[in-house]
Amino acid sequence: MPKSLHKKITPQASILADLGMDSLKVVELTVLLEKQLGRPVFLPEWIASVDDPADLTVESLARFLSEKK
Amino acid sequence: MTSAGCTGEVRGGILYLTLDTRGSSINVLTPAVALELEQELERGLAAGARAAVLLSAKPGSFVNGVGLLLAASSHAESAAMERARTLQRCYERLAAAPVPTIAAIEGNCYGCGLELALTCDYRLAADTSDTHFYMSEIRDYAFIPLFGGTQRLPPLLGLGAGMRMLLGERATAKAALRMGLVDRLAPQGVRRALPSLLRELRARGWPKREAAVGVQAGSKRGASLVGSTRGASLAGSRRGAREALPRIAALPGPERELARDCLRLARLPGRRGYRLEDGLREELASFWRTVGKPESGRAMSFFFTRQSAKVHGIGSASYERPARLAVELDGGTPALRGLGRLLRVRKLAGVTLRAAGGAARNGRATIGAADRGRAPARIGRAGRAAAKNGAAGSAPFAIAFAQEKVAGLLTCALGALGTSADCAALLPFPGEPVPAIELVPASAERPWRGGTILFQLLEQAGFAPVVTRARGRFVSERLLDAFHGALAGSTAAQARRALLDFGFRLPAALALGLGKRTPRGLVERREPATAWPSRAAARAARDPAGSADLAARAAEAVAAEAIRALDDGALGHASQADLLAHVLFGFPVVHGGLLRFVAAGSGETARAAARVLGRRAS
Repeated sequence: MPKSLHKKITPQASILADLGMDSLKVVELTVLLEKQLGRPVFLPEWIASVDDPADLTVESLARFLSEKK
Repeated sequence: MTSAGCTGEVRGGILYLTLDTRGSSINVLTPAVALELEQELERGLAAGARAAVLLSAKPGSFVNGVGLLLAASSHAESAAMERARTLQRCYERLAAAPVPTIAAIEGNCYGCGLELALTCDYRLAADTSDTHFYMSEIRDYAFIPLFGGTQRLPPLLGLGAGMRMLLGERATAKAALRMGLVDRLAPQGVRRALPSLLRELRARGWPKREAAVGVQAGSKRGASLVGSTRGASLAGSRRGAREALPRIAALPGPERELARDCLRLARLPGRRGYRLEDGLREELASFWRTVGKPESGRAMSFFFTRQSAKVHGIGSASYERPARLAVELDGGTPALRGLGRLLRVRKLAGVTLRAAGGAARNGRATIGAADRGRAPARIGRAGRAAAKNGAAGSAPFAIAFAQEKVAGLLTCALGALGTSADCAALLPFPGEPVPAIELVPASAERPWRGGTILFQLLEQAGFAPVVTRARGRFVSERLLDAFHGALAGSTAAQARRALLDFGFRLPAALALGLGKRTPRGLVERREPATAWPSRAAARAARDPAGSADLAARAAEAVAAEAIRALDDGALGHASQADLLAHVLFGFPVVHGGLLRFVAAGSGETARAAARVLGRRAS
């Protein structure tokens, strides 16, 4: 991963605006998360849960994942 | 600063706008890209360009869509609205350009991408299979298009053909030419065809296409460029007007209301006193109304499920394929001949098809003689390396469709499991527009990266591939059996009506075969069909319930079998079960994935579905 991207990944970083993710990358993220966590992950639920796509932050993702345990 | 996805260059007085979305294997018109397009257009016009051409740098993709899926999925109207506005401005500027605009289309032209091409005066298309046209909004995402599709397609093609496109019919480049969606085909690629088209425009004084909206005669200058067999753009409307409208009652239940809304919008351009901006405003209002509904949200979430199944199958959601690919076909069985026919018809750029045979083999470039006879997995990896070099003109990657393993080639055998080939495949409904094809690799590699190129070839040729780890029987066969079992005790007509009302889009062969033990179209099974202990079937026999129940029972039966397949390892991930349900039975996207739908119910299967989805037990 380029160093420039590393620095961008903060809890407040929005996956759309700051990290430049698109729907296909969200899919790849899902697969990686499932591997890490050892359980199914369905991100559309997370996406639908926020009021503003700008709220799709690293922090809100972490919260979503911990709530689903 | 690197471009987000659109660069502009004025050459010989012509503005060339090249689309190449950074960091994506397909072109997506994100707000950033749309902004660039707008700026480059303005810059080019200010520099005195006499015409503007829209091109793509990605051969397989003209424009596959806009980056709205995430924003729209979040139900945040204001945020999605802002993104939509940025995109809309780009469409408006292009439509209002004072010079003739040409969309030079090569690769997928879907949804908003098709709408972008519609804002141009003229459309030129390459005659390859990945150059095809499809409105995904209503069919895949259950919302009304928002960039003018409902207002531009009907006047251009006629109400009947316009509605069919809007409701999700796919059109090849040739079909697009016949219906007037495209003005000219480019047999040798769009870049070769552009110079002569531009010369004609110059000779006629750079005419804009006369608006096809509303009633008018229009000048003949622009019209004569629009195909030799068609006159003024109005001819398309006249021909199309004779074409029957799709019957709304014949559509799957959940699609009917959307279709009615779409028809209302499609009729607006024909009204007296119509103005395009009013029509676009109405269309936008319908978009917001429909995109906010739960059906649309669930349909959009299915996009992720579909891609997830692909990633679990081959390890990547990427849409690339090597620049050159050789495909060898052994016409040994009717099924293989049928597949060969399909691949030949759906010809892809850079893919050469040839019959299996000694002469062909000697002539073909292999991935390396040294790779012959090695284990399939290694061929896969070596193939990927070769594939990367494919564009540089080295040996093309080679695939074979044959009954047995062809040394040195990634071989796919259509038919029974337990083949010596690298993968077995089942094509239960070859007659469908997007036929499902189940791939079962021999390799233990998970995900099956070695199968990437085969998978992508099939996907881009218009099939719906799904990778499974079936043992003994194809998962598709198990699911089809469960489906039929659940319908036992009802008549074919009852079943068809019930399933349609629920939203199933059954393959034609499956719908026809309802009520018969072995549906038409299935590859003949070697072993006798076993009697699966199906609770649903037993219940159905005891209790001839109403039709609403019938569809739910069928869904439950398929889900139960899919869960069994997940538990015994034939399926690797829940998303693959959902994808199979969609491509085999047309399980409606407005219910999201099959398993999620069933999990929302009650009973044993619902609990099992929740379990495989990782939900807490209720």
